[in-house]
Amino acid sequence: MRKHNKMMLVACVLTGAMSSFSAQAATTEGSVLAAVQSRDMLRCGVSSDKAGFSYVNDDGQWSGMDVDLCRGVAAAVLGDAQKVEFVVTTAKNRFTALASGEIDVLSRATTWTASRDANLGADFTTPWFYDGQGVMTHADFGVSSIEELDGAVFCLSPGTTSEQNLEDYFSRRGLSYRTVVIEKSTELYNAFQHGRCDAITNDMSGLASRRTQFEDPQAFTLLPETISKEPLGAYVPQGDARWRDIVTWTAFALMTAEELGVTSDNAEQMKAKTDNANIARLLGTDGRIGERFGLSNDWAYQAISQVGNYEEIFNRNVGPNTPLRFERGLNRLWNDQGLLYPAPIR
Amino acid sequence: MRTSPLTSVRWSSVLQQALVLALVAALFYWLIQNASANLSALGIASGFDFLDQRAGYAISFSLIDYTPDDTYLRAYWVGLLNTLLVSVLSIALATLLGVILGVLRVSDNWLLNRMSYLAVEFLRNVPLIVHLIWWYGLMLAMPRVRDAIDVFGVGFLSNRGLTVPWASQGGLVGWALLWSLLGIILGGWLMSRYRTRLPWKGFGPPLWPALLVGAVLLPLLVYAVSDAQWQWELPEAKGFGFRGGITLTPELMALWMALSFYSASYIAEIVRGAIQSVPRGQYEASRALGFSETRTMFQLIVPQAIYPMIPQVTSTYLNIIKNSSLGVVVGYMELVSATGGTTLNQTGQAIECIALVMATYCVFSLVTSLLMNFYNHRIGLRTH
Amino acid sequence: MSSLSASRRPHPALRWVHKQLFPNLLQSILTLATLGLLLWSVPKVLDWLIFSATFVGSSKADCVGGGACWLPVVNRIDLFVYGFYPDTETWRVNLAFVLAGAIIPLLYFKRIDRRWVLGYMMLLPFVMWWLLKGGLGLSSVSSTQFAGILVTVFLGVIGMLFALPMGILLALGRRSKKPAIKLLCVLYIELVRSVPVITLLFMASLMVQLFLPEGVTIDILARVLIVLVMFTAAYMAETIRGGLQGMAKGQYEAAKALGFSYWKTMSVIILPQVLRNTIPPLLTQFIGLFKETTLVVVVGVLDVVGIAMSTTSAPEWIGLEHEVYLFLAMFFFVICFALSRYARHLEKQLEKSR
Repeated sequence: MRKHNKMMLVACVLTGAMSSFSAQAATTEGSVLAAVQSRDMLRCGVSSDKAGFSYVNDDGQWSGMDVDLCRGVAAAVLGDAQKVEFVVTTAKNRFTALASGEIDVLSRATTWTASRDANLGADFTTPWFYDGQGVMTHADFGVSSIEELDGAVFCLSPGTTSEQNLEDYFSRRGLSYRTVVIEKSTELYNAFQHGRCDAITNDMSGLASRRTQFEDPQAFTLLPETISKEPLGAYVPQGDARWRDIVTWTAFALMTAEELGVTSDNAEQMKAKTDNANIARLLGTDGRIGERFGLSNDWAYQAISQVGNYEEIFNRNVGPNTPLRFERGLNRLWNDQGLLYPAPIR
Repeated sequence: MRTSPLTSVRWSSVLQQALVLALVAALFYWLIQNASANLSALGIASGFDFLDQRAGYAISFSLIDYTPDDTYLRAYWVGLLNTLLVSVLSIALATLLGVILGVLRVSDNWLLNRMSYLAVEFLRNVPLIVHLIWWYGLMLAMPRVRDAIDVFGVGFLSNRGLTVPWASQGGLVGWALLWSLLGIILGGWLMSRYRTRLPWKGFGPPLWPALLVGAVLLPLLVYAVSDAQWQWELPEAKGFGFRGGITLTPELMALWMALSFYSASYIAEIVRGAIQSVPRGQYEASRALGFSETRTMFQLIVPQAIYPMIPQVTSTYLNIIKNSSLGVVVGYMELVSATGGTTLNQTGQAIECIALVMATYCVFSLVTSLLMNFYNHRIGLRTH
Repeated sequence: MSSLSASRRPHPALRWVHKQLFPNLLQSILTLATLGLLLWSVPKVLDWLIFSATFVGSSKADCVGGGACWLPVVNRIDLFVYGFYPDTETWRVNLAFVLAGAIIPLLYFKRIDRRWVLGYMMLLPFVMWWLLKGGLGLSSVSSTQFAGILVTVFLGVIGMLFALPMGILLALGRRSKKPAIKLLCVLYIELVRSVPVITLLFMASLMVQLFLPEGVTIDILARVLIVLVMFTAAYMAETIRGGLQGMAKGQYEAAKALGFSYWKTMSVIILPQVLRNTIPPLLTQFIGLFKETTLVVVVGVLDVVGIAMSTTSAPEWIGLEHEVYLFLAMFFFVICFALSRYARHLEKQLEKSR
C-alpha cells in the first residue's frame, strides 16, 4: 500500500514532466541581436498564403517581398541570407508570437498603426510596402464608386485593420453593409469570385494581384478610391532599440542601394572600387557604421549582394514579369515621385 | 509515538494526496503569476469588463438583432445561438441520414448494402475539415442571386445561401429557441421528479412526450403573455439580395452539410451495430409468425435496438456540437469564431475569451450528461 | 434425379441475383435506380479523374485534356510529403515513416512477445524525434522545416504514443481510491473531453506563451503536440478504463493473494491484458487523432492541409482546388480505411481467442 502511494506520486510527477519533455526552452535573455547571433539563425514570422509577399513556391522555397526582407536582415546580421527559419503565423497569433519571443521579426504585410505600437508589445520598423485598402466588385454591377455599394455584402479576412476601416467608412456615410469573414485568403477570394459577396476589400496590391489570376479578370472592377492608408512593414519586439535599428536600416540600405544604382551583380565590383563616397559608406569600405550596430562593417553589402536591392526584390516577387504584375506606384523612390524615402546612410 | 499500521497508512495516504494537491496548486499559482506579469508587460487588460464595450464588428448571420454597435456580450449570445442552431440542424439531418445509411447497411439487397458501406467508410475516413472545404466550394458554386434556384416557390437557393420564410421580427425566433431549450429542461426535470415518486420502477410513462410538450408549450406560453407581434414573411428578390425571410448563409449551409454527412456515418455504424445486436432468431421467429418485414423491423427490432444506441448517439451529438467550432474555417460566426475569434483579436484578452468559450462548451456537456443520467436512471442502468 | 432438379432450378448465380437484388418490387426498383445512377456516373468520374486528366506538365497551361489537372500535386509532391525538410536528409523522414508503419504488422503477429512490441512502441517516439529533429550525430533540423505529411504523421504517431502512458495513468487515477487523486483525474478528463479541440489549439497558439516565464518559448509545433497529447490522453483514459472494468475481479484477488503490490499487479498482470484487449479501440482512436491533426492548420501549422491550402493560393495553381482537396481526401481515406479494416480484423481475432 505504501509502495502504491509512492508510485502514484512518481506517476503524477512523471505525467507533469512528460508534458514538459517536448518543450525546448530557450531563454532569450538580453537583446534580440545577441539571441539571433548565438542561435546563428533568424526566426521570421510570415504568412503561408500571401502570393508575392510570403508563400511557398513549387521547389518548396519561401519567396516573396516579406520573405526577402527577412533574408536581407539575416544576411546583414549573420552574413548568410539562408540563415532564416520561417515561422508561419496567422493574423490572430502574429503579435503573441512576437511578444513571446517565438519570432525575432514579424514580416507579414502588417499595417503600421498607433494602436498596435501602443498595445501589442511590438514596435514598427519602417514601411516596406505602401498600400491602401481598396474595394473590388463584379464588373456587371456597373458600380464605379464605393458609395454605390450601399447594402452590399463584403468579403474580408478577420483580425485585420480592413474590418475596422470598412466599418468606419460606411458608418461615417450612414451606409449599410454586411460582411462575410473568412480566415484563409484562398477561401476568401474563392468566395468573392463565386459571387458570395458583392465586393471584397483588402490591400489594393493584394486585390490587383488576385484579379490577374482570376479566370476572367475583366469580370471584376477595382474601384478607384482607397478607403485607408496601409503602410506595411516589419514589426520587432517592443523595447529593443538596437534590434529595431538593425531591421529598419537593413530595409533602408536595400532602398538606398536602388537609389545609388548598387545591385546584387555590381555590388562586389563597387565594393572593390568606387569613387562615390555614399556607395563606399553603404558598402562598408568607408566608416564604421556596421560596427556601431553590433554587426560587421559589410552588413549592407551582404544584404544587397545576396538579396538584391529594392528594385530587384520588387521585380522578382511582384513586378511586371511575375504573374502578379504590380505597378511600382507609391513604392517608387522619392526622387521618382514615390514614397520610398530611405534616411541617408552616413 | 507509536501508531497502528492502519493509521500510518491512512496518514501517509492523506499526506501524499495533500502533497499532490499542493503541487497542482503551486503549478497554477506559478502559471498565474507568469500570466499576470506577462499581461502587464504587454499592456493587456484583464477581467471581463470588455464584455460591456462596443463590439464594432458585423456578424453576417444572427438569430437575434445585432449590429456592430452592440456589446461584446451580445456578440457572444449571437455566437452561442449560432452554435446551437447549426448543431440542432446537423443533429436532425445527421440522424435522418445516419438511420437511412445504417438500415441500408443491414439490408439484404447486396447492391444497396455495398453502396452504403462504401459511402459510410468514405464519409467517416475523410477529416471533417476536408468535408467542410468541399461543401463550402459547392455552396459558392451555386448560381448568382439573379439566377437563384426557386425552391417550391417559398425559398431561393443561390450562392448567397438558402433564403427561406422567417418571422417578421427576426429576434423572436432566437428567443423562442432559448425558451424551447428551457422548456425541454423543465419538462425533463418535472417528469423525472414525477417518475421517482412512482411506486414501481422501469415502466413509467416515457420521457420524450414531456420534453416535446416542454419544447413547444413554454415558448407559446411566453408568446401569449408577451405583447410581441408575429407573422411569416416570404422572401423576394430585390437589389443586391433578398428582402424578407431569412438567408441561411453558405457558411451555415456548408457547416451544416459537412457536419451532417460526416456524423451520419458514425450514426449509421451505431444503428447497424444496434440492429445486428438483436438476435437474428427473433427476426426469423417474427417472420415465421407471418409479420411483414416492415412490421418486424419497426415493432420488434427497432424498439430493442434503440436503447443500447442512446449513449453512443448522445456522444455523437455532443461531438457535433463540439465540431461545429470548425465554423471558424469558413467564417461561420459561431461561438469560437465570434468570442474566441474576432472578440479575442480586437481586445487581445486571450485568456478570458478562450475561458469563456471553454466554459460554455462545458455547460453543454454538463447539461447533456445530466440528461443522460436521467435516462440511465430511468432504464435502471448505471454508467459507473 | 439430381440432374432433373438441377435443370429445373435456376443457376446459382441467377438465384443469388434474384434473392439479393430483386426479391420484390420495391427492392427491384431501388436496385435498378442505383444501377442506373452508377452506370451514368462512374464512367464520367473515371474519365475526369484518370483518362482525360493531366499528370505531366509544368504549368496550368499544360492542362488541356478537360479532365482533372493533377499537376499541383505531382509537381509539389516533395513539398506535400517532406515539407521544407533538407533534400539530403529526406532518408531520415522515410526511415521514420517506415519505423512508424512497422507497428502495424507488429501488432499482427501473436508469436512476438508483447513486451517487445510494447518496448518498441515506448521507444519509437523518442527514436522518431531524434531522427527527425536531429542531434546525437545527426544534423539538427528546425521544426520550422517540418510541413506536409511529415507533420501529420509526426503529430499523429508521436502524439498517440506519448498519450498512451498519460492515458494509462489517468485511467488508473480515475479508479484510484484516493479522493484527491481521483478528483483531479476526473476533472481533467471531463474538462478536456467537453471542449472542442480547436479551443485547445487556440490555447496552444495564443495562451501558452502568456503562462510561461518571460523569455522562455516553446515552438508552435511542440505546443500543438502537447495539446494533442493532452487531448488524446483524456479520451484514451476512458478507453483504458473500459478495459480495466472489463477485467475479472478474480485477477486482482489472485494477485493480492500472491502478495503483489498495486503497481506490480497492474504492470505484470492487469495492464498487459487490458492493453491487448484495447488494441482495436486504441487503433480507432489513432485514426481519430490522425484526422484531428488536420485542425492544426487553423493555428498556422503547415500540415498536409496547410500545404494544400498554400498550394491553392500559389499564383501558378490558383483555381485547382478540387484536385488538391480530392487528393487530400484520398490520402486520408486510404490510410484511415486501411487502419480501420485492420482494427476490425484484430478485434475479430481477439474475440476468437477468447
